[in-house]
Amino acid sequence: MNPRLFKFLPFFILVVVGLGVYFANSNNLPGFDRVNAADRLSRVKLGGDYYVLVKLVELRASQDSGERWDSDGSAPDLSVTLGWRGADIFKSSVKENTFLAQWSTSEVDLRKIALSGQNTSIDDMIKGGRISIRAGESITLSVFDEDLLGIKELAGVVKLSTSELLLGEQTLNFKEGGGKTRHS
Amino acid sequence: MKIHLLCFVSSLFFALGVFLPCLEVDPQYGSFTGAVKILSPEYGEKKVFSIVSGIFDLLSEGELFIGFILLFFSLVFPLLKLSVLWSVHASRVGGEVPGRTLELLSHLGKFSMLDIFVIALLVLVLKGMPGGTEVKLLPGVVFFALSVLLAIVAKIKVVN
Repeated sequence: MNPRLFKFLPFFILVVVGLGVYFANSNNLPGFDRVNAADRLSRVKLGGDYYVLVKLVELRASQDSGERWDSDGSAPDLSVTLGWRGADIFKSSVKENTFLAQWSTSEVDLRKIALSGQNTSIDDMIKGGRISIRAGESITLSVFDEDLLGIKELAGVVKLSTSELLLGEQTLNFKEGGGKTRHS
Repeated sequence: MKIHLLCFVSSLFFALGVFLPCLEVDPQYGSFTGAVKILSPEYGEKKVFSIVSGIFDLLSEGELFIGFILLFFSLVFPLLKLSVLWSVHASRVGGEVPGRTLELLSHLGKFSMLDIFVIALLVLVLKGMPGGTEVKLLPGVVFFALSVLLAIVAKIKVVN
């Protein structure tokens, strides 16, 4: 080898090692997996317990059929229900007269605590459904429009395989109802 | 140890040092750690950085000043130093007098631990993070530090 080419050896070694590390971890280059976590959300782990929290629901101005949500022309009164294993594991409060309902993911009922004298915990504060991840299971997220008589009309529903859920905040689109919702 | 072997191992360790994970950050939020991990699991995840991924991340997030500082002192500068070291060694092997290259090597040698200093400073900053956040050093740092030390030994041998 020509000794004059020696000066290029560090660059050559750097490229070779870089390519080696890249191909050895083709889907998971060290350091890159977590650094870009904001762009690439990680999947939930089988057997793990997680909270599903609904933060925001947005509906279009009218239903797919073109009808307004409420007969008097007002915006819908929105609530969300989370179903798992055939039961409702979480029901949100009703947000009245809005196309854009937002819920806090944690609440403390000070009145209840003051009156009962009980303690509260983080689990009590979290406003969401807790699920464990098993293969083949799913959760159902239903959005309802409640009318003045308290009758709930389904505005949209989405079924999600629990094992395919991702950690962090995501946006989902309803197939029915035309609205969209985000949950984390 | 032969000079060319020292240079080769130093170059190899440098490449491993910049590409292998060097820091693991385990974010903690004091007594709220549990709550944060439940409400925002992505903020509670451990993060692993290599020197290259850290620089890439800083630049992509618009932190150009610190990104370019790190790029220069932990990637370009050590690479240049190794290249000059090889060049001086090659001149000696070829029976030439490495006049200007040797002078350049001597100048670069004055900053020989600056790259390590940058990493050390980074660790100190991260160690000082509140909430009990833990920072672990991973093999990348060891390879990087060994590369710098071997380059210093090689430089001493080449000059003498």
